[in-house]
Amino acid sequence: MPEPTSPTPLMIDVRGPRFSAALTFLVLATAYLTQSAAVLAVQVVVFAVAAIAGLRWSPYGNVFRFVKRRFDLGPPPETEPEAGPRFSQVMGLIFSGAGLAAVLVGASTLGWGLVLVVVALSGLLAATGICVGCEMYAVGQRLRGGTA
Amino acid sequence: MDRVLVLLFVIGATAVFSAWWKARDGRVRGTVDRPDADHGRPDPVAGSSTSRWSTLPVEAADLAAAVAPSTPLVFVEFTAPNCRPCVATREVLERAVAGRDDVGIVALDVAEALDLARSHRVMRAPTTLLITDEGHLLGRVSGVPREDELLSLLDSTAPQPA
Repeated sequence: MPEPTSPTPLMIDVRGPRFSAALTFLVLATAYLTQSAAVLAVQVVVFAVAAIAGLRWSPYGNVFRFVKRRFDLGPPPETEPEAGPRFSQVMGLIFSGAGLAAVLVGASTLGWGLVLVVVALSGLLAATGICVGCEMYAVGQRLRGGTA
Repeated sequence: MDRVLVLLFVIGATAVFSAWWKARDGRVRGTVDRPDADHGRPDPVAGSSTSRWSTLPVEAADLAAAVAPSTPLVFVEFTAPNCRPCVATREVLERAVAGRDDVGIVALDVAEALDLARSHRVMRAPTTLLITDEGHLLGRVSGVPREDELLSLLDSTAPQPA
């Protein structure tokens, strides 16, 4: 079900998703290097909260807001609607969740391969601001309509 | 140790992808066959075409039919809801057409113009196409267009003398 487009979408600080992506990159790279399903599971939960409850509840988003207050980072240089970044959290949840499931049933090459996709995309967002998941939002709309 | 190498490989591949993306983002890819373009082959269309524009045979008749342009040229911007770069794109387009009455701007929501988005292989919002009212495709940009390239695209597509 497409969500109804709210006339005033929740606007977020553009630095938030990049900060969250940097944390995601570090957590998932650590999980991969140590082959730790537990660390991977933590990240899956983080994705799930942000994707399902909204970025307002995103654990990393809250870390970012704390850092922003603590170090007085100033007002957002720009804001953006929540929808694109939130969609990218859904993508992250799907890939890392499938990866965790694969690791748990013993298909660890497949599982960690899926995790490395998320490592690459979150590293890309953190380093350059290119959000592939956000870009996929348009394609997602297209596929959703196309299956009807 | 193997895992460190795999991780470094993934990071390197991501850097390559990033460079490719940045080289493409916002760049205008024209389909107009410029007489001064150094492609070493004769213009396949000029002289034989009834069109006022000399174009490669890339067509957008479906877009022209859907948009029904009231101007000879029109920028068709594929947008998505809550898409911040789409707003920035709109601003760039409006600056590019300012003072010209031969170029219009139409926004199409990707979700509402699925067939058109599909037939023109729109993979990103925003993607902007420049078409003529005769249904010729003159250029294409994905991402927020570079304004100077938009302007030179418009300059290069001035109607040829009849």
